[in-house]
Amino acid sequence: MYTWVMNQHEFIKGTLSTIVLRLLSDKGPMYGYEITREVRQRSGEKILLKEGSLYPALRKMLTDGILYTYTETVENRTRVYYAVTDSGKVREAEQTSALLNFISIVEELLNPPTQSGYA
Amino acid sequence: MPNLTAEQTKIIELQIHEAIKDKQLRAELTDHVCCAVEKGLSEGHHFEKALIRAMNDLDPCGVAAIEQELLFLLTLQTPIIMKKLLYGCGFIAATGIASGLLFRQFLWPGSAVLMFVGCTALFAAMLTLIYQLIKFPGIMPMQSRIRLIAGAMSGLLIASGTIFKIQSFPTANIQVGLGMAVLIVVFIPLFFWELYQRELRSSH
Repeated sequence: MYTWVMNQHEFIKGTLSTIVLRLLSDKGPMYGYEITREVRQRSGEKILLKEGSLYPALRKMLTDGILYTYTETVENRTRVYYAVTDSGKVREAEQTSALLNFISIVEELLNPPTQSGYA
Repeated sequence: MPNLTAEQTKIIELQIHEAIKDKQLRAELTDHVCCAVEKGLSEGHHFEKALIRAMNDLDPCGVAAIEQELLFLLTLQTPIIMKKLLYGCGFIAATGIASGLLFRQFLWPGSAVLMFVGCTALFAAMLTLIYQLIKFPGIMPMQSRIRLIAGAMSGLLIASGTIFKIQSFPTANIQVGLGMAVLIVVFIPLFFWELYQRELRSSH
């Protein structure tokens, strides 16, 4: 458990934009808190997104043109919603496919077929 | 889920505004903390306790760390552009000054122009280096930082002094003299001392 918590941040770092893009593509526009809550729920409380990484990553994706924002006033405060642009949808498909492919390769690497499997 | 009062929202807003300069990030973090506090209230916590927990969850190192991370990500491209500029100017400077000296040695025409171009490029390269050292300090021992700043300052002075000399402007000798002094007294000893220490470390 300790190792998982320790490594989680490193694992998520490289996959954060793919996770966010996939979520926004599936669920439509979302705000920051909603994204963290959704990730927590979908992962069965196993993945806790660090806000310190999430908001800078969202802004980077915004400047890269794969996300766009609009604001709404909710309970006297400004809420920033993020949504995927057309180029973001293309990027999402590419990144998801690349990540799944990578996961399957790592899985093969960590659990190689037994010798008898090759025969 | 219970909603926050206008006063409670204001308290959160003030805490975030004190630490964050970026307008959009301020709005996002205020909303984020408000949502987290509302959740805390729904779980039966008092406002103060829920706020402390929400702020700690946001970033244990303090909310300002989030803005630093944001600035780092947004300026990630800048050092790459600066490196291109530094190496480009450095190449022109080295080529210009070397060919200027060659032309002068054989008394060919155009040596002054080549030296002028080379020194201007050297001046630009040193300015870029100083800007990079100040703006993106990175992780570097103090000794290396002093060496680089001294090297860049002497480069600036020598380049500007040479340009002044070519143009026959006053104070050229003072600038070149000062530049050389910094180079001889600070840069060269530190450069060789660091080389020697690196060699010692690698041999152990």
